[in-house]
Amino acid sequence: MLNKEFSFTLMGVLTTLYKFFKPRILGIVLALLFLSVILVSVVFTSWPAVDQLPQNLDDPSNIEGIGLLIFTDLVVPFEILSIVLLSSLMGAIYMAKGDGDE
Amino acid sequence: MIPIELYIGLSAIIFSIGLYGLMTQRNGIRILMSVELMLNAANINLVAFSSYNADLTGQVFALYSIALAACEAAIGFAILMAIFKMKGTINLDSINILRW
Repeated sequence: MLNKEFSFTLMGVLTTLYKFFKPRILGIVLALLFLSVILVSVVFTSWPAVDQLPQNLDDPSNIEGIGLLIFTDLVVPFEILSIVLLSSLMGAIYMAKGDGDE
Repeated sequence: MIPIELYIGLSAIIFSIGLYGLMTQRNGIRILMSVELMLNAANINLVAFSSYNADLTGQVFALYSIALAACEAAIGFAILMAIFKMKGTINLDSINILRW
């Protein structure tokens, strides 16, 4: 991007642009195509939504509801997630530790 | 009230930025950052739909997804550290030790 030998002649600008876009143009085109498909499908879909966001004026936070959900309805994924965290931590430490010589 | 299409559009834009970074970058840490961008775009979708449907389950699953993203980042950086100890580089073009 910020080359040291940047020159403001036409050929310099064109060369800089070419060097910038040559390894990136395929990625840019693919990402823009993906984004256009997603945006068109988002705009032309009627999403089901409530008309008015539910608000409890006494307690506007939803921390209590989230905590209740975690420990009642969704407690099984919570426990599974604890095992996943523990095993990934053990795996990361095992891989990063090396042979134990140093 | 903000229409929900704006949240989903923001999520799509962030996901596309992550996709672009994943396809063009050759540094391992930059690719991990792009993966984090894509995961956080999914989190924005989860929280937006949860809030607009008056159902808290999506926000709980956003929390779970954040924890899984932490696991993935830890494992990814550990793998990159092991590769750097072995090869001295994390440029993914020069790493082909899993090639058949």
